[in-house]
Amino acid sequence: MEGGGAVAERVEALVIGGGVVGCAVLLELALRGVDAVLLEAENDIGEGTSKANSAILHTGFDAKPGTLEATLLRRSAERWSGLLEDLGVPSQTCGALMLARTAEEAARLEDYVALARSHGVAVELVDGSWLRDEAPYVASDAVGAMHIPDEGIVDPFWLTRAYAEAAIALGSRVRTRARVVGLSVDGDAVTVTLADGDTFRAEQAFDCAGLRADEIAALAGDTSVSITPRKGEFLVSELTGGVDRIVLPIPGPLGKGMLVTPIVFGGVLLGPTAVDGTDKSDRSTTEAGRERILESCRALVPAVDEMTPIRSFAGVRPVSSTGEYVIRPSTAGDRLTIVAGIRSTGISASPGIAEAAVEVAARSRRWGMRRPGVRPTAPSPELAPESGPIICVCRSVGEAEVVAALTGATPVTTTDALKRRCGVGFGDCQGNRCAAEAIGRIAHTAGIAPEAVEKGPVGSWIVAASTAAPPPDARSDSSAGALTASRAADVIVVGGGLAGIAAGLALLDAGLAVRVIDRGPSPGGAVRGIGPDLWTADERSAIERARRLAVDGELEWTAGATVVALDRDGTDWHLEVASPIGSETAGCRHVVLATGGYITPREHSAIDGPRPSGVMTADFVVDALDRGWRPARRAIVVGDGRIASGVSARLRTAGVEVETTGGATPGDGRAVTAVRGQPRLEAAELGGAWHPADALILADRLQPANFLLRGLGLGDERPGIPAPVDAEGALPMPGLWAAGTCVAPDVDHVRSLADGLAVAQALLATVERTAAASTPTGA
Amino acid sequence: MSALADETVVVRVPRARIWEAFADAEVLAKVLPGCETLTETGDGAFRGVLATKLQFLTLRADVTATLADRQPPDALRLELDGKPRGLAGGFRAVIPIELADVTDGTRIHYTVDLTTSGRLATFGTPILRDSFRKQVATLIANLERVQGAPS
Repeated sequence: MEGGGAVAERVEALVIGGGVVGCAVLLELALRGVDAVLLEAENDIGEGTSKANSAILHTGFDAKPGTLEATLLRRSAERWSGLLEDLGVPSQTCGALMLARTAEEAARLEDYVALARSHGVAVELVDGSWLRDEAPYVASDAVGAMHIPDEGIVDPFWLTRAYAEAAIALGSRVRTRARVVGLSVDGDAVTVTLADGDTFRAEQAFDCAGLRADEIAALAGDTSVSITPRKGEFLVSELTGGVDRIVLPIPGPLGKGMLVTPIVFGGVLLGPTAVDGTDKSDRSTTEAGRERILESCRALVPAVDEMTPIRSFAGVRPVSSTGEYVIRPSTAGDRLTIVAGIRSTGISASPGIAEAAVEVAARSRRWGMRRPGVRPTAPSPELAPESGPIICVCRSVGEAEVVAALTGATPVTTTDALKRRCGVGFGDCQGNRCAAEAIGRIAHTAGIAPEAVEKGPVGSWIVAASTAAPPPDARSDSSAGALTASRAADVIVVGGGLAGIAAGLALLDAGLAVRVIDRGPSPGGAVRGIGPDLWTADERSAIERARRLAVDGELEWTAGATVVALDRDGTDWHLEVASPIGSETAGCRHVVLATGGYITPREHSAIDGPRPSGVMTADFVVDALDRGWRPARRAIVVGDGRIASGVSARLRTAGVEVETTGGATPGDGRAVTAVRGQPRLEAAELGGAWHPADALILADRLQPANFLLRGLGLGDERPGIPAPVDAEGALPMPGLWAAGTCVAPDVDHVRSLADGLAVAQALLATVERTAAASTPTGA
Repeated sequence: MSALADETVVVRVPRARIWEAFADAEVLAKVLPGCETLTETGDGAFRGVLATKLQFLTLRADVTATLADRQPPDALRLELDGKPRGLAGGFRAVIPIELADVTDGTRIHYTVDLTTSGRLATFGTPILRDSFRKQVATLIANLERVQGAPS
């Protein structure tokens, strides 16, 4: 059969669907030596159910006896230890506690102990005293629990990709953006046609299409499979409250209930809700769902109230009509294997599912074990010796990791794909400060235009149009000095915004050797992006003077560099600095942190709806416009201050139609309560009415950026907590000061200049007092 | 700073032989897990490159090691400062160690206070703890292999 004018490509096996199950099947085929191709409709593997789940490696302790699910969970449990080691997947056997909070619940635990033991899962009953000692974070009214020590957690993105990359290393192939539109099964082969016209003929095909498995089967005339979407909302917190095990309730009549689950890379996951629906693409979250999660999880772990969620998301699980796994030949013919209805235990059972699905097909196709004894190996990222410049400040991800992620075995064309590979964009700013750099690097490596780089799913575009030449005062403006060999500095100011400029200039004028280290291309910080028309006369004067002195070399200014760590040794501070030309350790006696902030992302507001591309902050908009990219066609800008005004003006100049939410007076603006559209934003709800827009740009609030303080154990680990300074701007460590919006978050930076000056004066007074005290009297 | 470990292990190596390893860079290089190079830079001070597998990533780090407060044969404090290659930031581990004779070797009690900065700090304690435990297991096996008493 031909497609798109080309002869059909012949392969031994096709896997349709690149979730964790499809990728596990691909690896199982590769381990047998079967020539296989995986077809994934989306931009990246793991873009569906596999990216949004509890990430638990479940022992199957509570599986329904006699089910295929129970059998495959136990078979998988035997394989996990070796498989995780071979594939190099981040994971942890953290254990789980099923809590009993009443005597009646404690009695019911006995049933679960018996069930778990019938599956061969090791469990023990523990009492309230044990919980107080070993798990003091659980609710104080817990009278006992079933402890399941072998329950674990895993990074689901890494696992899915590791399956695929281990298969690729053995000769398998993966095609993304390969949407199957035609499927037929005959006595000799399965014929598959893609939306782009390409055609494959395979001895065997595996329908691992998750939520779409019924639709794929139906293409071949098999209507025996029916998949219902079950949505689950989750919350993510970076704070754990000490939780180091999975904590779950005794299941009630409505199901397993909600869990508090540690995340492999730190933080905890709260949820999920479970709502059966009809829309397979509905990944919306709601304030009501958030409240339900918090209420349920609070009953297990009271410290949930202190866990500020930094993100909410929803996953959709594919549920078969019987609620059971469906792994069997299609009614259209045994050359098509249905692997469907893998609802909430897909990760945990994936090795067993793949083994079972491939074994049946291998017998029919007479595929022997052509590679006996081969162990799967996923290539480990190869990092350059230097971290390079920091791309993601929230997570300190450097260029070396990004390059390794972009050049791995599976291609990256979306910002979510990059995030899942190296963490860029996972932090509290939700990628708004690094997305532009990420897009640029993805486009360059993949050889595509910025407009072709999407957020996640096909259609989730980010850049509407790009121009060849960036406007003036953009990234190419390097009027400030490049990184130079540093002189010994008395004071290092971290951050070159208004507060940093004011402090730096005042300290320089007092005769101190000052160095400013700034991430930006030139002095000005956040207000640089809105342009000089919105600066006050004092701000203009200070920024222009800083630029002049930096160019003249009187003020040592290091542009495009990030301070990644602070350390105090005796009376000196050492700052580790990462920049495009290398890393260095800079020393000084005093440090002024003027690290500013980032515009509060959507996750901090009660905005219901899906998570399409097009919801962004002014930080990203400025970065995009600086690069000559238009990030929207019709935008709603939230905020009534000068950052909102400046960004709106720049967008209009770039040809974007702009609506603002600002009122007549600050704080009088209309609130955005919901968004709709998927994969790109279509409208936002303002004051009870829907307003069409393909971008919602937040510019109304600021979160202080105090990542450096977390490394020192100062202040509070929660995001958005101001630097804990005293009345003079001193932090509780000698020689450490903070000024500006990292202390007093104000999206418009109204007081930053004055605050920077005040801290400089306090610092100078301290220096003078110290000098006076060390001068011998009567000398 | 976080307490990464507080453990007691028994090593089938005489206490004196363990101290010999601490005093000899060549022997130390053979027992330290993933040690690629090691040079003695002073009395009880070493510099080298160590490779560590963090489940999903093999990190090579430039490390300085200092044996402080040596009170042979009973106690010492190992201080490690490291900078992983390819990642921003670094780590510092302070490891007080107590050694005591037992019938078939040496009982070692140690605690680990780990401070991480930059990228390592975002990996989370569980992954670092898992890696550290594997390193200790390898260290013990190496000690027994290299310095174990002939049977």
